[in-house]
Amino acid sequence: MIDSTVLKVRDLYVTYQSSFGPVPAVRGVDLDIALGETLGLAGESGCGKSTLAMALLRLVPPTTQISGSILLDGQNVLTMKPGQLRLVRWAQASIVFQGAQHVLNPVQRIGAQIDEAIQLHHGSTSSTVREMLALVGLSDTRADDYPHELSGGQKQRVMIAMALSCNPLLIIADEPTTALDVMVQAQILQLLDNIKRERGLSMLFITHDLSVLSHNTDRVAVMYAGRIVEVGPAEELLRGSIHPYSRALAESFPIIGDPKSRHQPKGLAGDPPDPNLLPSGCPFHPRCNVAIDSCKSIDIKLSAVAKSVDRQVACVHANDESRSVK
Amino acid sequence: MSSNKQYSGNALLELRDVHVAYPSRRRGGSVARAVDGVQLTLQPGEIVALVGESGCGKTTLARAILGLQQLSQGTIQFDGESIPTDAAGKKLFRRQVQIVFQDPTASLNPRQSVYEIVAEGLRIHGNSENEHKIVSAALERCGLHPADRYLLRYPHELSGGQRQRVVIAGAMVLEPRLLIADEPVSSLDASVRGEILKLLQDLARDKNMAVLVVTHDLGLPWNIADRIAVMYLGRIVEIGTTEDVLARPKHPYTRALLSVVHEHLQLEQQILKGDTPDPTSISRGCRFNPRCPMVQSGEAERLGILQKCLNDDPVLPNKQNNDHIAACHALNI
Repeated sequence: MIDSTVLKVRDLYVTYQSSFGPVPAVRGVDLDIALGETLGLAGESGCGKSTLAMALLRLVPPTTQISGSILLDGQNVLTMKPGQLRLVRWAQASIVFQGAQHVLNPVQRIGAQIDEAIQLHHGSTSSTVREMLALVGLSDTRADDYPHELSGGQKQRVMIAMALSCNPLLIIADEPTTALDVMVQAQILQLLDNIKRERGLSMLFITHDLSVLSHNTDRVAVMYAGRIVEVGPAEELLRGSIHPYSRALAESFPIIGDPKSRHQPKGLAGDPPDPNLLPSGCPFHPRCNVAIDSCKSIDIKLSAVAKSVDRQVACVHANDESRSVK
Repeated sequence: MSSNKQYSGNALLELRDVHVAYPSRRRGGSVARAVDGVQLTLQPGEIVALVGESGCGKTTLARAILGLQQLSQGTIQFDGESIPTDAAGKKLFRRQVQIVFQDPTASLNPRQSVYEIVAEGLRIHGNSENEHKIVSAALERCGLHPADRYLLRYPHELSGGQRQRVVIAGAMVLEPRLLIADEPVSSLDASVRGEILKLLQDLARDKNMAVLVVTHDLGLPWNIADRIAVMYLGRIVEIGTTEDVLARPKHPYTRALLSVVHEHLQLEQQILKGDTPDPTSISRGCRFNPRCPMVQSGEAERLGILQKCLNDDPVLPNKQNNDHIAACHALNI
């Protein structure tokens, strides 16, 4: 049987070195993304989601410690030699960053910027700059423009063209629509969706905005304090979160028209923990409204939920009757 | 608070035919009509959300209300009087109208302690009696308790949500009658968002303070606003109670905006093509006609209004305070 898993992450730890000592940003993450599947990764700033994305291609400062394994199309990214790694970056997995205005080179024409990646990997691809621009809905005269001549949405389209230029298997999209207007955001999400379907791409879609995920992802993983606390099919998870953190996150985006959220903004008291000073036990317990005494000392591991095959939750209440899967 | 409440007495804020134009930097360049004929009233204690894409003029309008931007036409009245232009009058006015910006990190002085930040307004307005007590009370009212724990901290020692609470506390010490909040939660984390919105809603209720929230997020008004005004290219194109506008949008622009919000699942997605429009070249006729789905699908032609859409600028009908109205030719058939 051919393994259709494009990305397989096991027990990944990423620890930054800082002047205050080691900072554990990702603490034991397992992830699988199948061919053609989109996994949404949600969480607040500082939860480690961007670190995780960067670590997948080893785009972290050299002093950073990474352990575990990252299998990209069966090959372990963490043990690759630099030359091999360079071949994998962009050609097998590429990243669409947030804030395209800070990522594009301001003094280079965009055609040349897209071409650069193609040139570096030539042989593995035959796409041309013109085809890439057409694919993302830009006219080929745009190739001669500088980034400042493009709008925010157009720049994000250029980023997507670059990411696709070497025919990768996996696209890592790190908050690709966060800085954009609602309507432009919808355009970009639609574009990503179409391209994904046409090319059968896998995608890791990272965002803090859960509402974006329901339409665009197959499965969703929620991250808190460097760990995945809940994972499952997108619709199921967003409509009936089991972990108290995912539930709070889902509730903070109201359903327009739902009388329960009218004049009832919901949030979560407290702030995300500092990775240097993680609370004991379950790191969510100081903000949790259903925490029990044992939560202060025992950190529950992510494990399958009795009632649903595809759900995994890291919470002592995961199998309580009252929290049954809807 | 029911959004269908009856208002009595005079409006706190009244905008009539407000225009703000920015001249071009180049000679002979075109003028940007950032705000292009806005009518709006706010009653005491009311929360109104001003919704629109970037470049629609919502921030310029907020600046105009604060007296930070000169009008090229029209009037703004606060409490029945024009915004004063003399120094003493301005000072009194600014005490009553405060603003909260989007990014709390950028609006706080990194070298001032929380105490100094919150007390600054009091000192400017010469209210130094009981300063410590007022500052502490404002912080605690904004959810930073016990206040003593925060007074001597600096902004970098606080989280994003805590910083925004400090900003709000600094605005609240002067007991304003109108608070303008420009994207108050869009730079904050999801879990903090609800807490800050709840604080704004509670403050408006307790202090009978009017709040004008500028936002691009349609979930925000559903959470806290009594009314919504939808702005497109310098003009309010639809206004009404939150329930009316979000449940039964009248303007095709509002319908399109709502259809792309994923929390709103009843409408078929209508993604408008192109970028946010340019206020230096507002099209003839209805300003929305280049992007209007009704024009593009031929529906306007079938309804026999296409010529009007292309040639006549639709105006918002006259209205009572809570009426739900929109500026679209399709509504007058």
